[in-house]
Amino acid sequence: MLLATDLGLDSLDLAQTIVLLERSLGVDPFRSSSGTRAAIRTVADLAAIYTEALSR
Amino acid sequence: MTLAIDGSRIHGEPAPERLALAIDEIARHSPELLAVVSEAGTPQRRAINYLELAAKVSTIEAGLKSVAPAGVIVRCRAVDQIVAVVAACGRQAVSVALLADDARDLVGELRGWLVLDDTLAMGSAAAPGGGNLDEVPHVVVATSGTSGPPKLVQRTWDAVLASARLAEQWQGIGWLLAYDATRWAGIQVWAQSLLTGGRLVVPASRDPDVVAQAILREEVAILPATPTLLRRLIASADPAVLTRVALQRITLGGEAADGPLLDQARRAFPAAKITHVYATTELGEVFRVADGRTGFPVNWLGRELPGGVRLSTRRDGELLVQLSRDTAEVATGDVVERRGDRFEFTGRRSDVIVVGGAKVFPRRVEEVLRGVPGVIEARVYGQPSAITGELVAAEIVLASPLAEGVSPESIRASALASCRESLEPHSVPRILDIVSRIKTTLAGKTSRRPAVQVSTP
Repeated sequence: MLLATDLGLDSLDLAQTIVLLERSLGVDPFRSSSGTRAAIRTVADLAAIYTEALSR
Repeated sequence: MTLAIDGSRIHGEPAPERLALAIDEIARHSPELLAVVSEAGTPQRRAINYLELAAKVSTIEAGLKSVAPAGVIVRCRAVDQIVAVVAACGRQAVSVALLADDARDLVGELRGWLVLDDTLAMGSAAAPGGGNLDEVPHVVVATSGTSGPPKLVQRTWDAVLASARLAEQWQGIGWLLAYDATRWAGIQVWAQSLLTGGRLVVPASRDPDVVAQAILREEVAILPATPTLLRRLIASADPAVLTRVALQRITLGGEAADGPLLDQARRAFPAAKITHVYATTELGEVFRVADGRTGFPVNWLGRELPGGVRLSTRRDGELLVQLSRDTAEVATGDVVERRGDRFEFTGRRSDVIVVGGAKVFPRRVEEVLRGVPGVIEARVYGQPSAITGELVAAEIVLASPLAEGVSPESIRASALASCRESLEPHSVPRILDIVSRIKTTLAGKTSRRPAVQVSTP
């Protein structure tokens, strides 16, 4: 599922989602590693980044 | 009340000595007159009169004479102690620094100065005079740090007392000290009160009900406050108390006063004259607006205002101030925007939230939020984001009790709808929280810092 094409999320929506996720999960993986940003295109990408951040 | 304080005589004395001289003179004429009422608005209220204050000042002066410090850092908490120390330092030609809680780290810049706390103990081994010796004693204060870290600013005594009004109509009345006594705005209030035989009323806290009780019981006539404090007072204090107060004048400062607040204030205090002072810690008072409208008239630009002040704007709207012909133009950091025949303040340059490269002034968003029925206070700040740099985030305080048939969720929804209607898409808050109280700085202004400081790993 593509974040932009399928779900219609723009960069503001994504930024908002990340802040809300940080509130409920306590982590913001994008704050710590800069290399991951280019890779988020799908919901699965996002889930993988959070799974990795939470397992650290 | 006529005190027969000869303002012009005191005014003829060197500025650093005036405060102590005025206290002495009032103590001679009206020894029992109350000078400082502390913990006002609560049963713990205590007061000292001018005779007691004058005695306190001379005791401190005696100590200063024997120690001869390079300067004094005021660490007192009690306002009567703070004013006594400052008055004593002035007459003894000792420079004095007033550091609010958030500026204490700056103390290192004043090496060798004597620190005085509420015990007023001077010891005997203070650093010898020297170090920072200037011919003229000065007053050191810290800027309020609304959006950046506080910094020390050195002011002359003339600047400290410049805006004090000594005419008879200003004598012997009650002043509310809603500001921190160690900040520029607070110093102006207590210096004004003490120079004119006023009763300085210090509320026990900034709780709206305590402030309202202090104003009522101590017969406060003049209320200097930030728009944030006034808004909270009107929205949250017991209306039965507010209708009984006898305020003659409300002087707003520290932040821009918006139209809706000025209207609310007129309704809540119909007998009070409402003025808005534009001042900064660096420049002192620049101008006052007394017509009860927000901002200032467009035709003030480019002409000489009272006191020789000239205003202009940069291309981006930043207000520039020239205090007099022989001084340089100073960029204020405040941005104004023309609306009809007025220039209105859109906010501080440093408060701007940058969302994916687009600028958002938090004040503008706050105005929209406060206009939503059921919302009594609002605060907008930039939430850091790795994707867009920042996001617009907001907190709102709801009226209590809510109108019938209205829920917090429905107000939240109409607040967002209202923002979408009147603001650019990037200015609409992406985070909107309902809180019981908005965060204010120690100076009583609306804070622009994020709600939760998330640590960076």
